[in-house]
Amino acid sequence: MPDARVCALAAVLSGFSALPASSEPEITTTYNTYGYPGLIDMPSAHSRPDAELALNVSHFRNTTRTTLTFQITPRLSGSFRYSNLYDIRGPSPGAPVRDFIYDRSFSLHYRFLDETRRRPAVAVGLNDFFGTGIYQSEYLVASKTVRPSIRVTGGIGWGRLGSAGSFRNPLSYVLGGRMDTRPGRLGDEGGKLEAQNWFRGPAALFGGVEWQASDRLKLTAEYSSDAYPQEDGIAFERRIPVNIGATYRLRPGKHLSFNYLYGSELGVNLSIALNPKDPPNGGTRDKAPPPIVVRTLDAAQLGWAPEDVKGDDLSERATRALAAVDLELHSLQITGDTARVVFRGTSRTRSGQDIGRTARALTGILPPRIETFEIVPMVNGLTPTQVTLSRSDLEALEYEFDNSWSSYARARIDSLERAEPPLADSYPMFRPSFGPYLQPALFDPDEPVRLDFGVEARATLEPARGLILRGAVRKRLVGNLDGSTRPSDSVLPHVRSDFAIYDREGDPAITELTGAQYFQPGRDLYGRVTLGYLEPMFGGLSAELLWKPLNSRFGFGVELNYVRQRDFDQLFGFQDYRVATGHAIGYWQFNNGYHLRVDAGRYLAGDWGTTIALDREFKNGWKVGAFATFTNVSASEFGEGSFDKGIVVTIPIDWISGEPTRDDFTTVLRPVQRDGGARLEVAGRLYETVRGLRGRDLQNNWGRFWR
Amino acid sequence: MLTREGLNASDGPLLLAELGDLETAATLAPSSRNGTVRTWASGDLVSLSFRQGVLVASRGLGHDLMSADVGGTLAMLEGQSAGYYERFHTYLSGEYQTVHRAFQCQRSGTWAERIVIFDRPQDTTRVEESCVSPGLTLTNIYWRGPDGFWWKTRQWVSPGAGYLTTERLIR
Repeated sequence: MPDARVCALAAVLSGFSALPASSEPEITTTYNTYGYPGLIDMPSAHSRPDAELALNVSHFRNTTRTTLTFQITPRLSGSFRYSNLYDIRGPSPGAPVRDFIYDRSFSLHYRFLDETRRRPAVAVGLNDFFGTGIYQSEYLVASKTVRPSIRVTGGIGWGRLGSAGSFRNPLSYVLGGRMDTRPGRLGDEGGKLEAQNWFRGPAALFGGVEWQASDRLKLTAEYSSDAYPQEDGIAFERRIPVNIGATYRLRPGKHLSFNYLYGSELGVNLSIALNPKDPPNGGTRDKAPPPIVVRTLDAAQLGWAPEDVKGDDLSERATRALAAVDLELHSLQITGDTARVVFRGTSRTRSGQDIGRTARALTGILPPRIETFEIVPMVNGLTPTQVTLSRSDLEALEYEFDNSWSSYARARIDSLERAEPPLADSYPMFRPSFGPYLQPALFDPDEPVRLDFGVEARATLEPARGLILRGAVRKRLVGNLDGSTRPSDSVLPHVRSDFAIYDREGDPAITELTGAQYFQPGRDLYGRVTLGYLEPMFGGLSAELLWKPLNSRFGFGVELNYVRQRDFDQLFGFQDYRVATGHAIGYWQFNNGYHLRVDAGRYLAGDWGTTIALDREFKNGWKVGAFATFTNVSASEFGEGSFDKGIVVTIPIDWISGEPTRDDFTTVLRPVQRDGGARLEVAGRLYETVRGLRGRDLQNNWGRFWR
Repeated sequence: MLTREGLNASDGPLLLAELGDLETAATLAPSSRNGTVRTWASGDLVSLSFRQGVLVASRGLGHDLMSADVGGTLAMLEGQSAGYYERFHTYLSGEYQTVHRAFQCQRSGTWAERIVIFDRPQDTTRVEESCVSPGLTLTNIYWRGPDGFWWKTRQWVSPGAGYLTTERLIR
């Protein structure tokens, strides 16, 4: 690392010349009624800030669109949209009018050229590329900021965006007459990548102007190329192709727009955005750590006299010192000038801070002759990693400017070959907890959002090192999850699609009751065997082996399960369905915070296939990802959606509250839950258990070592 | 409620710290010493660390100053340098990664000033330090007694925490 001070100074000097000279308000890019970057109904070329996650709700007569958009990279954003459409025609000419449909669609918006002084920003986009096709369209759009407060946008659209004022597809002149027609949809289930339609059929031009009238108010006018072929004349009257709108910034990240659409309708659009990189409270308010106690010649100053160096007394003090920083001492051993401490209680993102605090606590209690600290974090009985620190370094670096980097550079980080031997007196350990829970069920056609609220009692008992018994019971207090009465029409074994019956009959429900043994068969190798009621719908035996080298971006695992389907009441009984399911799993950490997981194997319905899961991971614990599973179940056997896919969001609780906790909240958004490509859920899988203590994650967490 | 009578009754050094932006104040007692850095801690575990009176770290505020290189400021306060010098801070980003912030600073004023700390007047020399960084200008103020003791300071901590004012209630 070059001297950080030089770099920082260069930033200061270059910063001065970059300050804006005028006081004219600068144009901001906002979301359109489809929830992706755009004008009013039309796209524009710019993007929102990297990593922003936005919820956008727009409504005008007979149309409501709710969109979740994530700025996946600085150039690429992806959207998932749920639309409620009333009084709408079917897609083919002459199709009957339907009172109501709901529609789910995905969009991608990719800005491939940045704006420069001479050139506009240019983006390409795909809408509804594997939904049921109502919003299917493609576009190429350019936007140029002609003055700081004025931006002009123009583009060409195909599909729905080429439905008004259309002309012959210009691509036909290049690629031939086959581009003149859109072949139409492949199947009825949706969910197919309808690539055969892309950029085909008639095209049309659209465009508009945005004017930032003040820091908070933006006025927009646009010319729309969307004929609303399925809505016009029924859902509403499309009189003119022009829309105007006013967008007001309520607070940073919150925008409210009022639009006058197609000469006939008033519409409203609300977007609420957050950015995982910017915690609302500026990060967690952890209490100050204990100071490094510097050794002096006068040992009495430590509150310690030489005859105190009895193992038991020292362990007791260490237990208290670690408890003060919310950690648990497992064992403390002193050999020569080395102290070896094993502690529990850290998490994937807090390992750096917890190791730092353990080291600080040790400086306050260990005799001066101890020079080396071997710190071993323990998770579920596993001790993957040992961090060796020099006490003199800690003393010297505590207030050094570059102490974060220096302490990491001087720490020795090793992979441990076997689990730390247990100390008799630290077992059994019992950890009960009791609290509320919230369980949503989304996208039911009868009721798009259902929610249960109740109480959950949980307990973890560790009678011996690595043997972990877990149980959880839930009792619903209020909610409407039991209101879903749609029977599953799945032709596959009903491994997931009977979820509504489970929701209805499981009250109270034992959501988990398992015993697991964790073990370390060799260097970089971790194992787990779990037996019991693994999840609400399945119980049985689950075994897993993971290879995760210390400093590699790669991990590899194998999981084999034999499970039987549980009774709907989620108590102790089972149904008849049994299945052997399992996967080989590869994990890959990219340099820039993206994470890939590929599973190949047999799924719960007995189908064989592959899951690809790509996550963007933030170093504070946020994850936003998407997954898709392709198995040997055909689209028609699978049913609506054609294959299993969805979005996963993990939010660390301390990011929201600012209070130091190690918990997080994960939610999976599936457009539709079917039985193909369904994976077993098991608590305490190995990869997430150990990765916070392996090279890359540990390095990412080291910024908090001195906190 | 702090009063001079109450202060006279307590023993041991005491520091009053106030964060105007966060609207909080606390009294802090010495908690440790490492070389020339002295650390003070409050009952609810906020700690402030000063190298010869100049803030080099805070903990427990949320928007903490993680570390600082204040060599230039110390030289300026000792009267060893005139003109511009640099100052460097580190913070944690929203993803808990170390970020650096550099400042160009200079002494922007110094004069004699009598200040009052809880009814007790104190003759001091007031020294002002002005620093600039992209999008940020700040002024730190240090009040030093004739014997070199720092009675009072106002120092900038971080964008989230703003300015910290400290007063030595008991030497």
